[in-house]
Amino acid sequence: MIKMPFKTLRLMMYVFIGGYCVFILTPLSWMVFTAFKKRGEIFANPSGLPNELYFGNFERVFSSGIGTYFLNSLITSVFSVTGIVAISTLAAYALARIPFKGRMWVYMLIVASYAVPLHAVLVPMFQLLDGFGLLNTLAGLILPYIAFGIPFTVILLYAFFLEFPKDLEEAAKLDGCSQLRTVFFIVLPLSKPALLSAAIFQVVFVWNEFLIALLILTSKEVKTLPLGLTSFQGQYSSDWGAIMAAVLLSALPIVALYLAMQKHFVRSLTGMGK
Amino acid sequence: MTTLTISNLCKSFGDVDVLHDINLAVQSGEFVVLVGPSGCGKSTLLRLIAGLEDIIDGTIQIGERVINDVEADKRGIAMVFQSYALYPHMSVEQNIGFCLRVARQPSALIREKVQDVAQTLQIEQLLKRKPGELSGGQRQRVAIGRAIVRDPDVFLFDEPLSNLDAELRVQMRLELMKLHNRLKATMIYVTHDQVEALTMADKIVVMRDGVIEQEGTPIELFNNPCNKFVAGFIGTPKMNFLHGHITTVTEQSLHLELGEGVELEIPNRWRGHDAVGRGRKVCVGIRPNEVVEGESGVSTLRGTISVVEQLGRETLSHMVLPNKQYISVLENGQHFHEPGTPWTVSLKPEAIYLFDEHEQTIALTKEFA
Repeated sequence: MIKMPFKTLRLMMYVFIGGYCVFILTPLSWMVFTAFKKRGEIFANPSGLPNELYFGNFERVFSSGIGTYFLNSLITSVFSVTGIVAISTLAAYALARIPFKGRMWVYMLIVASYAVPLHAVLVPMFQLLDGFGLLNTLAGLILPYIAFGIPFTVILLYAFFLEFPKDLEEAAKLDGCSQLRTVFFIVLPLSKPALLSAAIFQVVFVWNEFLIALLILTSKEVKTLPLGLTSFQGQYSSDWGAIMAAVLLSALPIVALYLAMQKHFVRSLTGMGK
Repeated sequence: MTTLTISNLCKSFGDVDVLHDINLAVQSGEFVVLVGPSGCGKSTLLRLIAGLEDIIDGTIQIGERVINDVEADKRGIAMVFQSYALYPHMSVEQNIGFCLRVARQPSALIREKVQDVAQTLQIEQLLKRKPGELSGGQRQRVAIGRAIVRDPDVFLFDEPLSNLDAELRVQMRLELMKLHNRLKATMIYVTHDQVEALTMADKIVVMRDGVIEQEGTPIELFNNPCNKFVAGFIGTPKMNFLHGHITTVTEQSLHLELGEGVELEIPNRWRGHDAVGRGRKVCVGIRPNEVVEGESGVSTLRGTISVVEQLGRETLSHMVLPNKQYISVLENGQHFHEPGTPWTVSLKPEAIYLFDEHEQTIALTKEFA
């Protein structure tokens, strides 16, 4: 094996990371620049900075009902993520701490359900929601999101609860706490990093989810942002400025969330929220 | 007044038996130390008393009340954990008062009780801090405070000093003893440190492999160990053991062959005992401070100095015999023996213990006992 000098290796890494950043950031910067350009300028100067900051694109986007999509996405995200975290927390704690017959089988089943591809269950899910009369409602979107979010969150929190110091729970038991009280007063307050990691991960998934939304939602009043963006494209097929402004607006909350909770977000991807 | 009685207690985890037929009576106000090597079951015994493990067989009584099926918090027991187990998200004040809050006591009463405990332990200035902002010793105090505030019948301590440095450990040991004197409470204390056991206990219970080997006052255990394990476990430095067999028995002395031509003559203080017969395997035990330099006529051993440890006020020398057995010698003062040089030592006759082939102590004949 050829031994590479450390400096050369570092230089190669920087070149790779730099190239990757350019690859990722070029379309993003193009999106931001285009959102602030007039229509003529988009085609005359597609990749450069805007000559002046033009907010007309945003005005058109706001006047065409992005607020509804935004609100729908917000409602969907809040209810889905709350549901996912609440159910997964109790399930993961029970799996990690309460001995019962078939505990490992239940856990394996949850892990296995994580491996089921979304596309394989689209048709039965559609029929199920149709049967319950939930098509074209936000509840019909929130319930599948919760179902799809639970396995990953349970896996993440199960690993966390296994490592949770048992002494603290035993001290709570001696202090007179029931198991449920121990969970709410001792375990959950100390599991904030893990719960936050799980929540952030699911917010990103739910906020950006497109396929299930496309399947379930048809009327404009219940559409979420990713779905709403496609209708913009149809409506403004040649108005790239408005499309980019809408995309920029839809990405802003997630970017803001990422910046505010960068530490937890990286943790959720690397260290299971510890 | 609270006594604790354990009768025929057994515990196993799956197929592994952890405790076998434990019987123990703890008197009211007694400070009992459970001591033994790692894995001997002492912590499990404590957890069974606390109600953190289910009892498989046997009973535990506090006073007249059998507590086998009583919930942990209703047993009148408080426990100090090895890791302190303080709730990191609560202040010291909240940690100490938590059990009272769970019991829905009025907040004025909680404040008053927490203040009292803080005063007793001199931690009033720490009440608003979180456990993460405290030193090891301070955390220890808070953990003890959390136990005191419950006003329990029995205190349980699970190796509470093992996370502290040596200096702090000595200090906390003294404070715990003072606390015991002040509260006059029944305390059961688990440790693997026999110095802690000897210094703190009214009664020491030595455990091995899930059984109680011996119980008694520290001095009883030190002077009259019932077997080789207890003799080796209690006392620092550890008792010397020399293995061999008896070659000659006379009224006055026993001649032992220790292997590879090493012989030892000791006064016969075990006359008439079955285990002291010609050809019987025995083990001679002697504490390092009962071995002296030079020849004293009988019980003399010759070997080579291997290692010398200077302890300041004392010197601990290790001598290797020709049969590769070691003997340690603890001398008062500073002695500068040269490793590798030949050395002769003698055993004080009245301090010799003799163990039979089953490692049980052979009792002295009446006139020597």
